[in-house]
Amino acid sequence: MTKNEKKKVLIVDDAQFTRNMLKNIINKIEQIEVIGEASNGVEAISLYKKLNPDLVTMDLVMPEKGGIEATEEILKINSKALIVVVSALGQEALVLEAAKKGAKDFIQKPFKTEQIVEVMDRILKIKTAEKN
Amino acid sequence: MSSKDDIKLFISESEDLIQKTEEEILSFEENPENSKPIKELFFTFHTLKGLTAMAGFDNLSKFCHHFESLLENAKEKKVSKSKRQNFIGMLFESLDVLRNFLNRVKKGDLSDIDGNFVEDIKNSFESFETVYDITFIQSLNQEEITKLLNQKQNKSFKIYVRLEDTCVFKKVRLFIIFRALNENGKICCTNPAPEDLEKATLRNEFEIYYITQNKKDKISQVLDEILEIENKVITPLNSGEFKKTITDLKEKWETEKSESMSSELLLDDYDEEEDIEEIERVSEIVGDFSEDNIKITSVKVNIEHLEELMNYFGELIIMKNHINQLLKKKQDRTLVRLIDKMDKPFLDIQEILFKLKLVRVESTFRKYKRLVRDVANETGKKLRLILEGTNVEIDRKILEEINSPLVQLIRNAIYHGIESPRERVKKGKNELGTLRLRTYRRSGSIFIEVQDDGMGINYDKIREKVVSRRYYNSEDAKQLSDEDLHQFILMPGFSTLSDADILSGRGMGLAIMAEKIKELGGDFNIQSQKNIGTKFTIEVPFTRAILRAQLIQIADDLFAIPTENIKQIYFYNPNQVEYIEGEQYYKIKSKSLPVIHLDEHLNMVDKSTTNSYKKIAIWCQRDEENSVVFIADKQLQQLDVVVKPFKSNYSDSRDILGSSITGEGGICLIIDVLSIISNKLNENIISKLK
Repeated sequence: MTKNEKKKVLIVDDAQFTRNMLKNIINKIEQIEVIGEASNGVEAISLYKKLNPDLVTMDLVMPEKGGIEATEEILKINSKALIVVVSALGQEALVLEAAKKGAKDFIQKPFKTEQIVEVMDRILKIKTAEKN
Repeated sequence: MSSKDDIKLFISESEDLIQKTEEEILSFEENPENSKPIKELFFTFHTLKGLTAMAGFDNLSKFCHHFESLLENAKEKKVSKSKRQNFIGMLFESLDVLRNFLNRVKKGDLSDIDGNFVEDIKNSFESFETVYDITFIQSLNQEEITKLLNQKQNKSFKIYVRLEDTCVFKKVRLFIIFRALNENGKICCTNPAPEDLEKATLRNEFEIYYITQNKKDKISQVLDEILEIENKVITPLNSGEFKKTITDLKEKWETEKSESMSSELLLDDYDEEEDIEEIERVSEIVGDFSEDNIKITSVKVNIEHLEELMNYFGELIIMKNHINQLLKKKQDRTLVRLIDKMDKPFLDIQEILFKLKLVRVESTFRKYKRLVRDVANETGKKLRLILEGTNVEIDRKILEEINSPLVQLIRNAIYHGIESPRERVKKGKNELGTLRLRTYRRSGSIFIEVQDDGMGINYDKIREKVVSRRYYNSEDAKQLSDEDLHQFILMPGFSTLSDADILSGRGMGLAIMAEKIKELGGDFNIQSQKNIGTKFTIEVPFTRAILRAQLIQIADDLFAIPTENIKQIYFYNPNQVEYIEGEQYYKIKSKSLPVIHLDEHLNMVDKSTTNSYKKIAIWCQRDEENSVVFIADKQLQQLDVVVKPFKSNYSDSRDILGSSITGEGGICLIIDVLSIISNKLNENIISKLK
């Protein structure tokens, strides 16, 4: 991966509103671009196969196929896939399950811009200068 | 739900199930290794689910469904020790939800419970399920740690982590941190202990004892990828330090655990056999079922129908009394004989009706196990509850009425009687306190004793109070017997002012309680000895529905006195009256008994047609020691009266037990002999004291 190449993010959420918010925030980060949006687990899996993103933001409760199953199946396709759960409050049990299935990290809705930026920072290691 | 009756049936069935559930939870708590209660609970909730669904309470049914799933899980996987308390607490809380719901339904509010609430419950259960079936990490033992440390290139670290205050899903955060670290090494121990960390997610900071081949920088990088870590400090430790720190920590936890264990409550397993019996009985029934051979030995009866039946029967008795009287005027021998013959079946029916109203005290008293458990937890006391005589039967109404006084007494005994485990040991007592609830029947009364082996009543403190409230000067106060001092404890307003460590502490306390017992026509007695304990004895009548009573006339009105209270009736002889310190006494055999002129007492003097009747003296007895003599105008016949609760304008309605209808259809008031005697004797004691 060259320095010019942007990191690719797939947004999975059944709410258009949330997807838009995430997209706006993420697209403002220079080194990242949103390359796809899925509104349920089934779409998420097929888009993942097609687009091979560097990171997936995953909603948990969605029609068709939920986030936990989607997480599981994506990790079957690529065991190193980076999946960040974006969940509502009060879903600790679900989030834990997703984490056990292999989700890398999680954030809660409603999220703040900085939180999303931080996730990208930390997980995609965009800023090379890590303060140890 | 269609009809009122359906609702009533629904309530009564649900209540039974809830009660059963509570017992099962308690028995699980007592013996968590036994998985049987969990299975029973599972089935109980399954039944509740069906029942509530049939009744149309969908949300409530869902609520039960979630319980059922929770228990199904627990049935398969044992609930780990650290989660058990939480698990049990949850079951108890949700029982309270069901109870509240039923109470609402009883008041006529048939709305279902809030669906959102059910969702929340479900979520909390889900998190709970995961909580108790996963263990992120476990402390390694000494051997394992040594083995790891001996491996080449392995280095040991203490990692301090502080999470951001805004971190909400701490459990998941912990999981992610532990997972990341364990991918690159091995967590040997944490502080707080792993099981506490997972449970008490209240803490934002913790330490991890970690062995890895990686350098400090690498560990730092791993943690940097994780969100919501506010601060981290990674300290290398040499293997000696590392092992010692962990050993010290574990020792510390051990002592903490044994201390907290001591505040746990131990309940007596007195009824284990009964439980087994019950289960065997159930399995018998199940066994019979397959052979189409069920014998139903009891049916459920709506308590209201029973009350109605009693009332109708009461009316029949009144009519029969009337017929008897009319017949006495006519001279029809055959009819008289026939009516006399009716007495027997009447008595039989009365007896059966009476039995129908009886329930075992057990049904209520078993609930006190929960109460004792809760109060002991609240207060950090350690005690067992022993129930004796739980198969004694008592009128359901009376049992209901004495519930709150008993609860009060039990709370009192735990709060103020039983000492803390430490104090008990210091006194050389068994650190485990004993609370004994003993029930027995004697003549027409039920006696219930609540006895603790605690510190006893502090009589000196009460004396101080008596002096400081200027009832007595300190010299006279010294002369007061324990019995006298009890009168003060029971005096309304006295105990509210008493120090919490004397006895009551909870304001309303014993005065109101004793009042309540007396309202029931009962009595109340205290015995106490310093450091040995206190025994409260409640005496209540077995029943109060139908009484044999002596009709008397006072002025122009009819009254009745329960015959069980009457020792003897004499013609009134003014020469037998003597005055002691201004009080009238009536001499019977060598005794001088306090006199109560019922006409004065009931405020009927002005109505009285003076002495145109030959008056009577009725010797009434509360017990061997306590008697009074009532003076009334005329003795009439005896009859069975049906007591109806009564509110009156007659002086003090406390003196009236209720009313009844006489044969001729007139109303007579039933005199509450026990209450009058008690009041009179108290008056005398107080006037003597003054």
